[in-house]
Amino acid sequence: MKTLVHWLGEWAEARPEQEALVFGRGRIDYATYARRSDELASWLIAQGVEPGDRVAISMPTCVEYVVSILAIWKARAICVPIDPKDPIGRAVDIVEECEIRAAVVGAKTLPLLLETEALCQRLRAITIVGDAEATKNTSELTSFVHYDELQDVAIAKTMPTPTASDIAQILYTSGSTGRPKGVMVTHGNLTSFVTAFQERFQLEATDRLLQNTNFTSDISGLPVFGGLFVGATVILMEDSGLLNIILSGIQNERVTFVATVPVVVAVLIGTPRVFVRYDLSSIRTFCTGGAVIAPTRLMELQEKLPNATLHNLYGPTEATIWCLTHKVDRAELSKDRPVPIGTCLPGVDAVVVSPDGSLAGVGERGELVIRGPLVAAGYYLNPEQTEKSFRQDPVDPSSDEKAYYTGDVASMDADGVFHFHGRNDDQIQRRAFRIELNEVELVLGGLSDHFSEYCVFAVPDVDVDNRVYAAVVLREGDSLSEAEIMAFFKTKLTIAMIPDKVLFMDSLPQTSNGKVSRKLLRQTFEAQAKGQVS
Amino acid sequence: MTEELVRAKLREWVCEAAETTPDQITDETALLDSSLVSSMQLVELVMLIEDLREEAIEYGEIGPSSFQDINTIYTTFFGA
Repeated sequence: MKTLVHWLGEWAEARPEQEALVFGRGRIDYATYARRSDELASWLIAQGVEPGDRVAISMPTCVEYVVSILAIWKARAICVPIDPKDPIGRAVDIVEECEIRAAVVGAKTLPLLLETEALCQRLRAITIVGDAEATKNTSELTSFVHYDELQDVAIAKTMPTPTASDIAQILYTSGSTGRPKGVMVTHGNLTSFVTAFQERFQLEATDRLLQNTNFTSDISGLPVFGGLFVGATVILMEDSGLLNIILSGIQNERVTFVATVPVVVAVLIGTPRVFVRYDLSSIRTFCTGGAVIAPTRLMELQEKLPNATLHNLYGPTEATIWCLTHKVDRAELSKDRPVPIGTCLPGVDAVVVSPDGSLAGVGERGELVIRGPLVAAGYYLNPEQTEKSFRQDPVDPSSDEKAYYTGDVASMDADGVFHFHGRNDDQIQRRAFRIELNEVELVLGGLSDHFSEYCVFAVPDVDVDNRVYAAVVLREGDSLSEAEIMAFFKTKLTIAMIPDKVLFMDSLPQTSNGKVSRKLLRQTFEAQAKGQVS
Repeated sequence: MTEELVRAKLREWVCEAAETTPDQITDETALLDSSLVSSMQLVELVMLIEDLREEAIEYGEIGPSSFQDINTIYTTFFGA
């Protein structure tokens, strides 16, 4: 199987001047994309990066981000994205677990990196992107190069060729034990995904795909890899939290393909004037996924974007970006009928498994299990969690191929269409990331000297996926404030994991066993909120 | 449009968005940190600012912190 490295090289030869990547005023064509990635790959190889080595990327969205991904693959190394906005402790944990020695970092991230001894000790080769002045303030222990200087690098005469079974990237997701899990996605997974997606969506080289999600989230892979696979143009925009920037970008760049999360749809629908202010008529495909979307939202969106086809997408990181899709039929939309998560992409298979391990019948609820070429290679250095989620194939137990048990409750109807019914554990979906409430609660436990009881719970919200609350009972005489607790969270958790609010309570509801009950707490909270509204 | 008029229009919008009265806010009142204005309402606020400026915002470096309070908004988008 040929990998994305091969396919992107093909476009550089077939259509060298075709625009590949756009970020603000920065634009590069396929030939430049290939050449710049060759330069960076050559430098990495010259610094001793070998096949299978893990190389970090930590910088805001930019053209160089996508160049770096390809360069790392050309060195047959593994790409490990780290969000520069994450607490430094999380970055250190990832760098140490992956034994990362080389990285591509943004100039603004560099000072923080140099101040952190654990990172200075570990990293031996760093490429700096952005302000060239940053290269003046570096450490003697490490080789540094500014991205712009790479043009002087001699291109390696031979470069290793990644194979389908090679790991392409390790994407860290929330872990229920408090330890983030690094999902190992292979080149075979990515090629299978873009091939299957292309078969269903028929993207064209004239398409202009919007990428505005954080690169640490696997869903950024749809517009980037899916678009570059067909020689299209990828419009990069920063995940700044300001939707107007995105809308303005869609208008100015004549974006044709949008894949986003339901919260963005909620904001669009909640602000109807945006459809007057911004010309969004270029959009021909609008996808939403990563969380449940209310059918009414899609009904309203379809009215506002009459020329666009709408799709609901489903897929965990462990099954490579998206594995089920549903083309929304205007006629079938009804406010009383949840939007299906759809049917499997070509070549992918999904089944619903009953608690006893047997395959569920039509309409029966059970755990959704993904089979086939999109199933990732497991969690990096985490055999325990890997064995828990990547298990024997329920359809063909004799197969060596593992199936991914999603933890999502689903059913399949007589037409083979899947329907989502929630989770069977304490994982939630928030801002394009899956979050384990237990991980957030374990962090809150770092302040347990102040509390007699504490619990983290989530309340589904149609507009923002889930609202997360930290409920605490302060010990007598303790005066820890919400600001202090939130400041503590910010030093330990990614932005998507930080609770919306701290609730100071006199006591927390308990189960009959005397344990604090997340479920009862949520029910109490919802009942109180309902009472306030009525 | 004069500075006073711009500030008055912004205050009027914040009061409506936050369902509060003019005596409850000042030009230093935190809008986002205090959840007075939601991130959803920010979209509408940006369009209001563009209307008052009578020109589109150059997006470049701006982000949610540019909307900290009315003073920051005025300095960022209407200052000299």
